[in-house]
Amino acid sequence: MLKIRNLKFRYAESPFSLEIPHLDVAEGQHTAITGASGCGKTTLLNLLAGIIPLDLFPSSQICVAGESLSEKTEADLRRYRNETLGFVFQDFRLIEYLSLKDNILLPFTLSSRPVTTEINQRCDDLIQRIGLSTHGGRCVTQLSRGEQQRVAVCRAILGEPTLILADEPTANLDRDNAEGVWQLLFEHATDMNATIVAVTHNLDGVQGFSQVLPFTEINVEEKLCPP
Amino acid sequence: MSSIIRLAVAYLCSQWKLSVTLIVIISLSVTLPIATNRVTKEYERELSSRSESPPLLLGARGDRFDLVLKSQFYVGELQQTLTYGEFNSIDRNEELVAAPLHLDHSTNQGKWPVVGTTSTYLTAKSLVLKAGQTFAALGTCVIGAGIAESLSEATSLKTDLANPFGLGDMLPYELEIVGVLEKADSPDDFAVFISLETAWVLDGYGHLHDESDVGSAVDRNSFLKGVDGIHIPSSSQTRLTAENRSKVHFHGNRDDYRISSIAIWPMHNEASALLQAKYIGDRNLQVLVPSEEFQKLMDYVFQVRHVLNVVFAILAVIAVVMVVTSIVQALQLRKQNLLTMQCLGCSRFRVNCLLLTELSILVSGALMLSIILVVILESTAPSLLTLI
Repeated sequence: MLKIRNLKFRYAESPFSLEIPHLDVAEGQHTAITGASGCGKTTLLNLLAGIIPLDLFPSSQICVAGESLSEKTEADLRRYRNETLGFVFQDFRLIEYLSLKDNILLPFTLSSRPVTTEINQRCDDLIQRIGLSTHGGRCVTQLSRGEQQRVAVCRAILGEPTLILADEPTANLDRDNAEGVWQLLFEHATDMNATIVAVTHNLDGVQGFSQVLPFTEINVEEKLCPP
Repeated sequence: MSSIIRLAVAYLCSQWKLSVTLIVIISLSVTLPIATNRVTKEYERELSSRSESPPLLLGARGDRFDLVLKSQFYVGELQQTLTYGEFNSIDRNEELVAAPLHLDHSTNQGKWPVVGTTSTYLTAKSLVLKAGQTFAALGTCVIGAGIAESLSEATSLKTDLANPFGLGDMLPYELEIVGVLEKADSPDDFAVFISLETAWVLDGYGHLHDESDVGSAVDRNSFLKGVDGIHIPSSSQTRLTAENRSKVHFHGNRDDYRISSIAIWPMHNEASALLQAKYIGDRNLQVLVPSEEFQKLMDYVFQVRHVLNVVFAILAVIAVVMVVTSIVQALQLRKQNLLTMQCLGCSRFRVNCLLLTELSILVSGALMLSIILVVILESTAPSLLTLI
């Protein structure tokens, strides 16, 4: 599903450097990449999502489902992020002035994909599954942090993506809420045979990852990582 | 597109205080100059249309604007008056068509002026009767179309007490409505026209008596002093009817009776020039050309409008700076939201569409508010005119 070959990246005017010569994640596999805060995990996810372009590093290659991200046009990358990918952010990134349901439907309303009856029904099912069926019309700011992250997960999985990227999705949550979020992600991934790549600095008590990779092992530029 | 509109509306509703403020700022910066220009244009149109007829006005010396405005718009009584004798001397000139104006009375708590004149005035001003007859009989009146709409079923109008305390003054008279004028879209629509004789009855020059009053020796009406001897007008008979009309009698010499001004329509330019020349050096009377006086007034209005336009231009610049600053600040606060949208697969074009839609809704709201405000201001413009 995901292949990284000879990935080299550095920010301009920054000592930070990322170099991953080889990384494979099979279809349906749930991979956790662990590491300390600030070591480049989020940068890696942004590269995998095509949010950070690899134009300046032509020898680097990231392939998702056999297609190289470097070869995709801007429109292709948008479609990839909208249809193939589901992204869960550490800080939820919900639109605070929209209702719970409108937030979950956002990837559809922002793209040219129609919000069909089926999608509406699926959205309602997801809301029911996270126990917020009575909160559908509420503004997301009225929800707890755990509920907000579950809504963010619903937004990521509504379009049934084949690849889910999760950036420290439980970093700001207590243990119970964190478990609820992981459970939701794994249930969906199992149902849809989706691949999960999650980066986190804490995997205490989390079951369900098929492989756990310390970031320092995959990044050969580990010496530049902060302690 | 509907989803973009929905998102835009959701954002504007969430920031409703900012949205309303921006709408009001944009709206006012658009409305104020438009409304001011339209109101002054309406004022100009009203003045210029009103200044055409009569072409000349004769009145007592004093404030020129006061004489013209009050004679043309019937907005109150003139402090300096002239006598009916002056009118007679003008009326004898066959090259002039003249009509006296008596503007001292009103009805409906001062809202509707009572204009004492002759039928010549109505004819010369092309005021046509829509129904009924003219005010030939004592105690009768012809009302403008605007008053007729307000009154609907009423058959009479009571004049206002000239002195609010009613001391030494005539009691209000009831005027029988005998005719209604066609709509003229002018102050004539809200005027009550009566004969000069009826106006003099309202003044107290002419009156009725109660049987018991005859022979009494008390004068309660100070204004009758010097006109006649000792006399009591009736305090109970304040309605002139077919039965008592013939019993009304006048005191003194009619040539000494008071009128406010004289409207004059010269037959030709020479007659106009001669009349103006005749009164150039007169210490008591003046002949005015209303169109010239209105033009002077308009020049003043134009100067004020120029100053206002400069003020509005400065306000508009301030408004634009405020709106742009608010929008830039709002965009800064929403930077992460907009980035999230792009991360979720939304194109930059679509994000820009969303922002443009929000701006369009604000501008549309502001324009709608502006239209409403302009309509309201325009509909109240006539009353603004009467205030002036």
